[in-house]
Amino acid sequence: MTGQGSPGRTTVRVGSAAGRADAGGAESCSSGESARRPSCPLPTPGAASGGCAYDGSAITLVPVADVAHLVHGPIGCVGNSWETRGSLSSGPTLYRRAFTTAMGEHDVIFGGEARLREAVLDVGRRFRPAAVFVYLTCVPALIGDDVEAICRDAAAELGIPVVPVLAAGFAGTKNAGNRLGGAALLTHVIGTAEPSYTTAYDVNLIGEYNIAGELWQIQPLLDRLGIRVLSRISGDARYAELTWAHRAKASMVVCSRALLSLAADLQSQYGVPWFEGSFYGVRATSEALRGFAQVLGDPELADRTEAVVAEQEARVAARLTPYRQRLAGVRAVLYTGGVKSWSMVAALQDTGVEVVATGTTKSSPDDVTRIRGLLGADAQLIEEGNPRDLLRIVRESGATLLAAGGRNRYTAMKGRVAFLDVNQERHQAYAGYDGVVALAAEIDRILSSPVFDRVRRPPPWAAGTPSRTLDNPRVPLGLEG
Amino acid sequence: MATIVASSKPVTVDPLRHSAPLGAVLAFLGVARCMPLLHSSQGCAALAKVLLTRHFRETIPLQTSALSEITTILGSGDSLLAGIDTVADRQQPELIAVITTGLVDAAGEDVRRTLRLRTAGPPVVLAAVSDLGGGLEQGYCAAVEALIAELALPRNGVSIDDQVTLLPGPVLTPLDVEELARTAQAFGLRTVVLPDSSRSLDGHLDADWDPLLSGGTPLSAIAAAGRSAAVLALGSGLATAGRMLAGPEAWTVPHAVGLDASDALVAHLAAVAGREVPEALRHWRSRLTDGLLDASGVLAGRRVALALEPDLLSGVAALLTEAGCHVVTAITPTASDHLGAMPCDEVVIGDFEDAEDRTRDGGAELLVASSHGAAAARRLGIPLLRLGFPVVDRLGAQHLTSVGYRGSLRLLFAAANELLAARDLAPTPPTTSREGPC
Repeated sequence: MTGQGSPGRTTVRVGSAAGRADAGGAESCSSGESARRPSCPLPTPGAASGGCAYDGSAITLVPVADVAHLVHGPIGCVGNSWETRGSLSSGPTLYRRAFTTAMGEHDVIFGGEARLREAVLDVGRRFRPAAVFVYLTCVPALIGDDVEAICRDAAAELGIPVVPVLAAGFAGTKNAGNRLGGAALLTHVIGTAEPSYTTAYDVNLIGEYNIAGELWQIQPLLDRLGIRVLSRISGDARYAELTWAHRAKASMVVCSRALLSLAADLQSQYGVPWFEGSFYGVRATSEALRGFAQVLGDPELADRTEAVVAEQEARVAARLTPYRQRLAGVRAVLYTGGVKSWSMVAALQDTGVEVVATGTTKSSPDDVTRIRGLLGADAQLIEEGNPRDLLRIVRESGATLLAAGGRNRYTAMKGRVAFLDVNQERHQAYAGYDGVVALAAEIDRILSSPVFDRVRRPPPWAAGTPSRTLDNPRVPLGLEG
Repeated sequence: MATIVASSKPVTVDPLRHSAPLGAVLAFLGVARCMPLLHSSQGCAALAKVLLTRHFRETIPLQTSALSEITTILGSGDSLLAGIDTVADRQQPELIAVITTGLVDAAGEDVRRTLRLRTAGPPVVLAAVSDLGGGLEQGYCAAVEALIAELALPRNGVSIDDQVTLLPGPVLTPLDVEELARTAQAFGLRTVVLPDSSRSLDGHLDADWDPLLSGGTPLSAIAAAGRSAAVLALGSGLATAGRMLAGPEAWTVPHAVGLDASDALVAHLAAVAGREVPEALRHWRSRLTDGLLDASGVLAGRRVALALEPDLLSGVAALLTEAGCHVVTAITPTASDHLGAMPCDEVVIGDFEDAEDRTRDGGAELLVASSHGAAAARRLGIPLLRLGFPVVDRLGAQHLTSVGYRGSLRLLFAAANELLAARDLAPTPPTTSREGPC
């Protein structure tokens, strides 16, 4: 890999032969095929956390806004998960509808293929989607429904693409599902059509899901540089733009280890170079913008980029100053997976918050190296964060903020600790330069609440606390707690 | 009287139905120091946990046997036993509840046989359910039946005269359960509540963090559940559970929502206790009758659409009909015997797409449904009264009561207030060609 900077800086990595090997190597334990290798950890019965491969494939693909996303499986798969994710669309809302075959016992006995065929045709005819994505789940995988054949036949009958997404839940973890979702695009979608025109500055964003509108924080910066996002994979995407992703001049993998393989395959099959980066934090955003210039190999773009970076960094520094003053000395524990374990560290540091510990549950050795670079060698790394351990780490490190995914929100609340949601269910956008300011403002707002001190106080009648009673009326009001 | 119509589409669009395993988990979360374990791939537990966490705003204890392709095909018994041992060690539960799923159902696993291989550890109950059939209600009721079958003492022993067993159904919120218990206690009765979410899922702050919920029905109380003078079940699916405890004497109703159904509950408790109705309950009744009068101006003649679980559907229909509303459509995920008696023309077994279409066709002015109804209500331009499961886009899901005089009054006002907030009360001037005075 190239483009490696000094420790402590967020850097972009440019795809290359080495980068590709890394994409295959570091991520191999969460790929569908190699999850079967004995060296790869399987989830522990009774101590598993996190979603399944189906969940991961849906995270990667459901943001495609004009597609009907049809889940072939029992009711639980989509019933428990629809309307949970925060990807936004600037246009079509079809992706928000939940379509499912809701398989029953009858389908297990006689096979689910007939029901699936009818379902695809019904959805295709009534909702007129740009395409139908069919998600395989455990039960039809077990009974051997030939989803690919059904999709092929239905596509011919409907005259629209019908794409099988073969990521049954029991095939692996959420990361494996992200990757298998990317594989479905590569196999069935990318390269099936051509853009009406191309420019020298056409790029793909891979792994950017437009959570709470983050793409819309990044887009204006790229516009100013004259960079055109040819394919959004997949936040705020339309089906058509996915089909010509192979014509991009570069891909950026945004905060996703699992989709490095898609970028690497785009390079090996179509010669699209790629780099990996993040839009969380001032430094990371600047590095990401420079990454485009570097990969596109355009000195003039590099000059334009430096001008925009200098201007934006100065502008955002001024806006951040009051927050950095207010947040100085605030300690935070970050608990999130994979790439965010370092990219969010950088963003939190840019707001002036001191990150005292971070999770490394789904992080690769390379992620851990970056964390060490950002936090120093003594950084506390949380390998497995059950709620009890997280609260202990928060307490011992003197942190007043837990930044984590939504499932740990109430861990923080029960521990009477302030919480910042950094995962996909959130409603705040933190990308790009303005996103850092939004992040700082949000942390400041959350920490300004008086509630955390108040709920820690014992009630006035608790033992050892003076209380105002008929016998002891002299305790002033307000000191009872 | 209503005709029951099943939606005949080949695809489910925006499902109203929840899986039976989810319903079973919900029931087990009302048992003291119980750890539910889904016999499933890990996603089943992760997705269910996220949904329950978002609704209750609590950390939800839920684990999984984490099946892979290989363990599913070669036999998942070892994974289940390993999962049980792990949660027994880590969470120190007093009871482990194993819940099967469509995956092990389709694989044809003999889970009972696997569980018989255990030689040590805390007791285990098995809810043999599947997301290939039924819904929230069926899973919840199967879990209650499993608890009774495994843990309740045989009912031919000495009965406890002043004790009543209450079986709250799947649609009761934690504060509904509390209201039900308090209503019985107002008659001087001691209560066994199974399951009891009123102190486990009610949203309260404990002194220390624990991986298991505090509160819930103690195992000793489940043991004594069959020794009560009477058994009352508030949920039509709990008829079997009621019979297991009290034979034909068990009193099962689909709901206690609205004046009539609340009266029936109170009258039955008075008969069980052999006492007059306490003054406090009489006063709550007078508040409800007063509220019905106050709300009648707003609600009379209003057209409402309901998309709810079966018991809640008939309960809300009863209350709103008492207040003068006209139920133009009622959609529910699974069939139930009592639906035919509902005060509307038809009940549709369907999804949110059916609900949206029929709400539009019926010209409804208010939709009563979970948060999943919000998109449809927005498209239709009518208000949504949030009720049922899940309610994730508002705070206080635990407090959305509907049971008894007090719960009915809360729901009545909430419905009326949604309409008041949505309606533009200012009269609009008629359009005229005549020019104004200035």
